[in-house]
Amino acid sequence: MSGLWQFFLGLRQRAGVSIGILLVAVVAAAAGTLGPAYDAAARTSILQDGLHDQVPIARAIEATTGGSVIQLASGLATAEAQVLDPHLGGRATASRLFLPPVEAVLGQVPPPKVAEPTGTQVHDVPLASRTGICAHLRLTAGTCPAARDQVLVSAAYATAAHVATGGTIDTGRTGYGTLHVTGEYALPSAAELANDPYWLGAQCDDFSGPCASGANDVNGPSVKTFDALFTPVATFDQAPDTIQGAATVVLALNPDGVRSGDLGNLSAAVGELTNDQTLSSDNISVTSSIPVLTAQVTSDWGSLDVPVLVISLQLLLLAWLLLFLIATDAAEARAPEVALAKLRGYGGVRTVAFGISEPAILLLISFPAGALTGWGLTAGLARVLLRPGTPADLTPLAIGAAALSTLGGLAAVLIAARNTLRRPVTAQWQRTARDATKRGWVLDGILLTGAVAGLAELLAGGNVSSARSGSLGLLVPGLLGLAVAVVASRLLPAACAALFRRTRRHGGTGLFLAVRHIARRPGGTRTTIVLTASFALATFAIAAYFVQQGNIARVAQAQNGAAGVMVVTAPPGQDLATIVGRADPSGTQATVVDRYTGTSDGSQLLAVNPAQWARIAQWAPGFYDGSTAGLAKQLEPFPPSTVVLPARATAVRLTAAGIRNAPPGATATLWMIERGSTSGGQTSVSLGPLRDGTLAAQLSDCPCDITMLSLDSDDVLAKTYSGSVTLSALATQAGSGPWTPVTPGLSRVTGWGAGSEFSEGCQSAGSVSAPDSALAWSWTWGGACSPALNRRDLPSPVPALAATGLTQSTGSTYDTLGLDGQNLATQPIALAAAVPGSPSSGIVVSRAYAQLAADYISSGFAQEEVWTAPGALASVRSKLEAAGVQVASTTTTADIESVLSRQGPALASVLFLAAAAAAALLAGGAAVLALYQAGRRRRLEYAALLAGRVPRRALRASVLIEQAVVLGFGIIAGVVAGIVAAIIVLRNVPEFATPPASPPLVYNPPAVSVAVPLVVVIAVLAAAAIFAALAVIRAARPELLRQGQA
Amino acid sequence: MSIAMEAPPATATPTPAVRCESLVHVFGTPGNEVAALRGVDLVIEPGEMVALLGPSGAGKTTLLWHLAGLLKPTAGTVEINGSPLSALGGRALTSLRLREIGLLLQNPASNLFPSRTALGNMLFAQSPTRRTRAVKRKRALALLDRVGLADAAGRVAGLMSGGEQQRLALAVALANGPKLLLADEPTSQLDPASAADVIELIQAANASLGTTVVAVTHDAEVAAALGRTITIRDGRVGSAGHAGREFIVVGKDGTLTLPGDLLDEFPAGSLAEAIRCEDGGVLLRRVDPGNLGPADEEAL
Repeated sequence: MSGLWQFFLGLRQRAGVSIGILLVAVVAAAAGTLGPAYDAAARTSILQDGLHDQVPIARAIEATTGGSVIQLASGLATAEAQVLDPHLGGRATASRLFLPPVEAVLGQVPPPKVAEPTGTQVHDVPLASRTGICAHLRLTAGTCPAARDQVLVSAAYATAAHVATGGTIDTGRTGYGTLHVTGEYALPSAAELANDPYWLGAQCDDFSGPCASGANDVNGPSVKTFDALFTPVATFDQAPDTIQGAATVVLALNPDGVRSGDLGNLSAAVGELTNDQTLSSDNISVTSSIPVLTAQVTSDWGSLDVPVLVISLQLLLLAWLLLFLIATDAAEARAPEVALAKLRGYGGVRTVAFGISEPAILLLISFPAGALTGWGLTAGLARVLLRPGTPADLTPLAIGAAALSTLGGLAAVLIAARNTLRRPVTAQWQRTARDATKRGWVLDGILLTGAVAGLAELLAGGNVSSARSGSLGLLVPGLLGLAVAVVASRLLPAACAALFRRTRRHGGTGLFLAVRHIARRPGGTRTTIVLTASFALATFAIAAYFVQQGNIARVAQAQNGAAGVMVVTAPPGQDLATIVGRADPSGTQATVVDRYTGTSDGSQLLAVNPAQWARIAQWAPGFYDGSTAGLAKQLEPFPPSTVVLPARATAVRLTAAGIRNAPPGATATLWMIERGSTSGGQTSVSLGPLRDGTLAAQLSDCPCDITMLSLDSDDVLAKTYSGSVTLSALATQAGSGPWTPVTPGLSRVTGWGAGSEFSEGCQSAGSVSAPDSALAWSWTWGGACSPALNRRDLPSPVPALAATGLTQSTGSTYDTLGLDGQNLATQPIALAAAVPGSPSSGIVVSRAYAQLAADYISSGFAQEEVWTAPGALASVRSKLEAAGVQVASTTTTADIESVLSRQGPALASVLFLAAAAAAALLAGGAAVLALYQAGRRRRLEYAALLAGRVPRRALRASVLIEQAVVLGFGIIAGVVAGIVAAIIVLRNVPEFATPPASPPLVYNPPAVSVAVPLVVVIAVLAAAAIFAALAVIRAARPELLRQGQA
Repeated sequence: MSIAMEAPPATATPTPAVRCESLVHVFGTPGNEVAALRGVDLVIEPGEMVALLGPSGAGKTTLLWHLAGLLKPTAGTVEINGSPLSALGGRALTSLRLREIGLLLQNPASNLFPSRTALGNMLFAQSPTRRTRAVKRKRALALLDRVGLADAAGRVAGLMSGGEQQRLALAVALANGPKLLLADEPTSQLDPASAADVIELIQAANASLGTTVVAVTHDAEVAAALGRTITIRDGRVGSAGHAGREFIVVGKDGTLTLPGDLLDEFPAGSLAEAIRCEDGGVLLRRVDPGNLGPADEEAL
């Protein structure tokens, strides 16, 4: 019979406490493992989120230089690598961290000879080489250029230059000779350009459009640009060395190749690169936002590390306390054997080894089991909470922490077994166990003092009930729970002792026995301590979790604005609102929002359809106190009154009569917004000299909203002219069709006002009236202040909803920038604590008003978005794409919630919840087990009572009452402590990596959400307690007295 | 009523197995003391079998624990085979207990590891010794055979009957060949047949191994089987029995504790007169205070 077998027989005999010790020890080791392992996995997840969710420019290094185009890009790449590689630890590491470099060389060739409107500035055509270009472009004709002097052209260029595959392009004096067209390519989509790091810089360098050089000029679309001609780098390398050009090398981080440990080196290396003096002296400029990115990720890690440490420590301490509780019972259960061992000649060391051998071996088993359990839990949590694909590794730190927790457990076992091991043999046989019944005040005093001192330190340090936010606040529930637990554990026996006399006369035998057992059983106080402390933690963790989830939802709703938000580009010449209106005729599923973000004060203009926006935007309680329907009416009190020249109109005319006192050479100009132009915007057409009779001009890209009719002079006037004219008969013509009157045109004075073409330095002087269905306009014209007849189709200032983060007043004008980047005066008619879509800096106006107020609208300024109601995103998107709308990106509220949920504080909160719930269950289980063990030790007493004809049901009631009182008291005290801790400290515990300025967060724990999991746990414990009580009484039989077995 | 008393002749003795001199033991805390032993003088020769008798609370078990070296005397000395226990350190005491003392407790289950097998209990008892495992096993099986448990070596002790457990406990107590076997109520929880078996085994151990036996008992049969009896009364050695005769033991301070059956004749508070007889004996005569002569009253 082996010693091992004898050992297992012993474990079997003490199966209850053995399993209890093993379970708690496994949890302790798992807790030790879980913290560091989860922290490491969460760090990786945060890092990956930080890398993947950034726009490409934020995770790239862009090096540029200029000079002779020969070997320009390759030389740049080499110079860059020479600085970067040593700091990263070699080429291999650099290759892992970065995607293959994209080397681009940019030259220029003359534009095709195309007739452009007078005054249009025509740019040269970019000639570009870009590493692996053909793998990233879709060819619509021909083949990829393979040799020098071969090029790909865009379809637009081919059309404009009248060139096709197989044709040639003469580069004239630029030195590139004749280029041979091998094929045509289609432009990459807006989404590709925005999201693929390959195209970094290409949107502005290589393709015509809003970003192309000069296209954003607020002076209007008088710039003509062309898409690049793509050629192999050999074209440049074999060009004459006199040809100058620019080169760019883009190194984009490979998100999948970056590990947590790389961040320090990476940040330092990029810092060295951007500040390298040698590169600067070689005319190489390096820019990168990678240090900003790494700083952000490091900051987010910081918001994770401290809470995880605090949470893990609390759980570990609780597990050790539990272990102490159970090991104390185990030691008592083993006390007779220890006494026997001493009697059999065991010395001090051997007795200790014998006495703690069982728990020690269980602890040894628990080490790998706990480490593996912690690892498994980490993997499970990672799968549910972290970024998909995040690895959960069993790190050396995690293994060390598991070992540490096991050693702590061993210490707890030693302390618990100390009394038993030191107890004289005779004392054991006398069964006095006086030392076991005594419970010193010293330990309680130390615990209470430590807890109160800790709370005081947190209070003094500003971690509690102050505006300061810090993870140390997470210590409060543990400390408060411990303090309450120590006091409660003293109160319960005292309260029961006070009931002695009362229960002698009332309440029956069950209550009588239960009260005495609680008052006299020392284990009960330990049970109360553990239960109270663990339930305080659990209650706080549950409250913190639900409060945080609620706030994450609020922030996500506020940040995204609607359930789904698409950043889109409407097809050229089409109004996005019209397309969306066709996609959602009801106006309840989708709406258009124009966002302008270029303000210096950080405010964002949201131009919306108020009624639709009010319905589709997400309004959580506290965002806006009033009625959103009423708000919509306030934002657009009347429909914009516009004078519209219809679509397909090619000419416009009006009649002038009764001109009086006009300066010589005065001309008339009609200003309008071309709704049908590629890029929108305000344009002007000249009506020619001001004279009596018909004034006419050619039109394109209508429909057009007339914004102004101005009178101009080539010279600054030397004197002032006070004159007048009568205007009438505004009409348009489509092609060679008949002239069609424009209604209301110039027949009503409503909406027209006499003023100046330029606002700065000019006094508005003049008047307008409408006698006989014609506008009678009189002016005062002097200097450079040309008179103008302005359309006033919108209120001024424009009514707006403003975030309280921008202004606290609804009485005064708030100046911001409109969709054209020019000043827009708004009048906040309502304030919102959080504006959906731009919580703390949003200023919402009517889109119709904003468009009318803008002189020129370009997607280079304003971002066009389509907001969708819950569940409508997919269908709306498909309809929009079918209508030719390009969707650059899509964001849902759920996406944002997911990202926020993967930030450090949220991940820590879930860890806290899981750990505290496990601790509460474990503590409850340990408490039930301890009560069961205590009951078993009283079997002889119960047997004697049964023999004395005390009814079994009275004994059953006694055990049930004891279980209910001890468990109930501990749990209630813990829940109260947890709720108090939540109320005190939740607002100080960080919930986000970067606290949002808005919306205002809510810290009231939702009662039902907190109560439900607690009730479930309590129900499970109650069931276990009832089962244990019944088992105890079932085991008590009068025959035990004859057997003399205790 | 009178009792004749005679002093025994003084003889030289070898090193006793047990010697207690003026052994005093006080339990409790200051202000709440209970004197369990009030000056016990006792000598037990090697190979003797002694039954400690006496009423409950007289101090029998306390005396036994002193003999096992489990208590430190409040006053007085205990010597086991010539070794004064108070002079021994913890390790030496443990070693002495391992080598020379076997202890058999009242409750059979208290003597054993209930989860271990009979053989496991035997081996555990020998584990502190330096015997090889094979020797330990051989001795264990031999002893189990001697107590009639040869077939039960692999059975778990906790599942044995009370008689089997006590026989196993005796085997465990004898596992290291002790010179002194201390037994506390070894048969009190056994049926008569099992009790007889245990007594027989104790006698056999004494006969074959020369083991000195000291047993606390209330059982007259056990007392009779062991031969010599020592009755403890009120913390003192009250009387001693030998070969069927009962003797009053005179304390160092000259105190006598009368046998219980004489208490009717000498109730508490009664007066007695010790009269030296011509044959060298002493006569104890009860005196009635009402019949005292003038000389008596003067003497009083």
